[in-house]
Amino acid sequence: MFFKILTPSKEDSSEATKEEDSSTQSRARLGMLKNKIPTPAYTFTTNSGALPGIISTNCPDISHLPMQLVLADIYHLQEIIEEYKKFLSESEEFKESEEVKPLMKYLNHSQDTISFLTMGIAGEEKVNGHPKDMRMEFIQKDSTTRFQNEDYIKAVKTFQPDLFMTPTHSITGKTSKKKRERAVKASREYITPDLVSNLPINEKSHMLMTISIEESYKMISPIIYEKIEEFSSSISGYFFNVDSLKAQTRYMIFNQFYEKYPEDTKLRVLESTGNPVNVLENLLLNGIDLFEARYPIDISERNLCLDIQTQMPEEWRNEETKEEFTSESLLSCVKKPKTLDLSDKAFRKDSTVLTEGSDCPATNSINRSYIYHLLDCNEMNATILLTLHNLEIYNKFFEAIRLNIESKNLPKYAEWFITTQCE
Amino acid sequence: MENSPLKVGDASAQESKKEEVKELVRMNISALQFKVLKQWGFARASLLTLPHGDVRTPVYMPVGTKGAMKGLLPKNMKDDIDCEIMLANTYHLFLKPGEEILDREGGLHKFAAWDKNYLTDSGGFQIVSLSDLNEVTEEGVTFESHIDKMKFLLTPERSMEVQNSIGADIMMALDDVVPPTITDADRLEEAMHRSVRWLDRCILAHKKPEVQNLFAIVQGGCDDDLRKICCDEMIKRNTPGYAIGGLAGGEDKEDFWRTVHTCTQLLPDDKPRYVMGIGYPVDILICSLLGADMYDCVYATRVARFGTVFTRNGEIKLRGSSNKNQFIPIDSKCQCYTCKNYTRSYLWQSFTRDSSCLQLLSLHNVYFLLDIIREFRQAILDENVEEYMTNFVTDYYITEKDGVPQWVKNALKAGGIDMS
Repeated sequence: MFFKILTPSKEDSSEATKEEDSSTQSRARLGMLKNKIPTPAYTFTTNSGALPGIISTNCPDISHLPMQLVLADIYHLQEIIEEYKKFLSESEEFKESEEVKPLMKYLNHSQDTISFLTMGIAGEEKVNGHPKDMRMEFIQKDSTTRFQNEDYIKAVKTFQPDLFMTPTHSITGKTSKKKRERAVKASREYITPDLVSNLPINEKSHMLMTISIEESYKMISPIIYEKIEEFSSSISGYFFNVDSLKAQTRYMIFNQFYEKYPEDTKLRVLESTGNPVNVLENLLLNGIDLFEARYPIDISERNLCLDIQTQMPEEWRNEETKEEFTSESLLSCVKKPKTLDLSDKAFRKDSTVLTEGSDCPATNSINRSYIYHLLDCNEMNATILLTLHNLEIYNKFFEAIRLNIESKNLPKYAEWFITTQCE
Repeated sequence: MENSPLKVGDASAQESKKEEVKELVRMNISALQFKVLKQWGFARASLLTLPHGDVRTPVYMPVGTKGAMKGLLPKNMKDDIDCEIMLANTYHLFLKPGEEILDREGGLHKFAAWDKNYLTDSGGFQIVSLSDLNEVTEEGVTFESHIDKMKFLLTPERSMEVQNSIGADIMMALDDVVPPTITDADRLEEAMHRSVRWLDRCILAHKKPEVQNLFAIVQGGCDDDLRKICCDEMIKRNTPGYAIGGLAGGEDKEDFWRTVHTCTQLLPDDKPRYVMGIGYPVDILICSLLGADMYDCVYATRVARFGTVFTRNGEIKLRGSSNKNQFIPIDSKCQCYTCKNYTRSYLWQSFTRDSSCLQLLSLHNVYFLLDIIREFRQAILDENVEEYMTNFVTDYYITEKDGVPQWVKNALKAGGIDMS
């Protein structure tokens, strides 16, 4: 089974009551993706198919994560992968095997994990020729690539991802209103019977329907519902392209969605940065299963290391929830997880181990003073070590989330996290 | 750096210092053991035991300039490459992070989380190569930092102080470095003699001989007579090991190997011999054939960052478009992490897209050098050095129009292998 719910959210389960205390409200649920990946989880955003700035021999504990492959920066690989498939078919070792996923093998990602093909890099692609001759353009490192639906079909057939989305143009808070409106309309219009019937949707390869919403609309268009109904049997889940919305608007959108589909059991994926506060908001209020997340990489590139605990102390579980905290508090939360900028001179003599109690052999003997030294010398190893540290913490954060969903403590966990681990 | 004044013109003070040096030499304090397991011609397969573990020699020592290999973590060096000793640069570490931090952290091993061996150079070479302004006197080398233009004086005593703070298992004496292509014979001779005098000052200034080994550096350019004088003098100082310096500076290849051969014949058999600044695959093997044991060079990692990698059929430039559909590893015999998991095609397209590719190429190049030198070592133990060397150089130059270069054949012949 592609996606199985193990523990439904309170709202979906028989435990939900109308008088539910808003401080304990939670739409979060536990699931299992392709019998391999426990959810909630995050997708590891690759850079041109590579783990950004790190090599997998240094970070074995990400092998279970879905690998997010961005079409815009692996588009150039199509021709190569077609040749690679021929090479594999002629190879003694692989020619009999139908199980090998060529793209994942080429990129040296685990065959056991899931590949998730997303579209572009927000702000680096555009839709042209709307509405008559609609096409997208990817601005790649060394070329500008234009494609239409048939090109997308070809790309999905070549790359054979486990999971992919219906085409869309990413939008961010900085995208102009006119472009956002165009992108939202385009993403609906891309989804045609011709597209869906030609995409390789089967037990190995699953499609998410992209739901793009524009802030000023503040609603899910009836057209989107029509598309969901029309292609329901082909859709394994939804990709919510709503990161540019205000939190309140996003919450409103999801309320509309769940009102329409109260018993939805399909996979819910969120376009996001993966900021932990944002993750908690979207778990509790919006019931997301899988998050795009560049957060650990992004903060490492800014010389920041996460300075948080991920395990809620026992005494916190029994504490009374503060009056001012409810799940909806997350809608207006401006706090960020605690981080340290290790390029600050204050760390020149700080011998504190980078990651206390780390299991990672690459980082468990490194201290802050050494990272400061590397940053001061512009040595690339600083970013590598920070990335490994931040990934380890981030993985533990998601483990803790799953444990607390299981023990029905997620709202309490969120309160603890926001109160004590953020600033 | 502070000045450490020495009244070099005072005869009685000099005589007194000489006696002190002689006394220290007689004490024969060493923090290493060197055991030759087997010999083939001049080549030796040996075991060098240092305070942070054994080192199989001959050995290539990767260079982690500022306390880090670029793109490779200590975990990669240990687990993926099986490196037993690395180099760190005193000049760079003196500037950043500085002695204060190194002392506070308990030395470079702890600071950089590397629990195997380190060798530090004296700082002299970097001063000559990096500093815009440097002036050599009998006292030491005055230079301007390439970072902030501050002026410093590096004396033998200060070099020992800084290297004692770093805490490397092997330290190098400060020597008067001149390029081997220098035409001023007087300057070359002056540098050689000064290097001997500075070695004495290093011996006196070295505070931790029981845990850190001081190696002397033989100078003398490509002049056999000067090299002989220098070797004789340095052998009298009875240091735990010896380096052959002043090469790999643009000299003719015939002069290069001949000078190495001259020195290895003169240096003691029961001590390690280190040829400084050597990092080309064939050079390392040739020097090993002629009796040297240790090498260092930044070449492997530096060229990796430009997309050039080592193979047993010579170097290849991975950025060439001919690699686009090459679904083979960099080198078919290499067992490094990169070759076991990635194709040339992948590395070609990844090179300009993500920095992880640079790490993969660096890992391969360093592994390659250590791998071939271990193969050579095994060939000594298995007594098939001739076959190994003949096959290696034939394959390495297979794409060269003229095949194996004459200088290589000449060096092989001197080492007991006739390829004519």
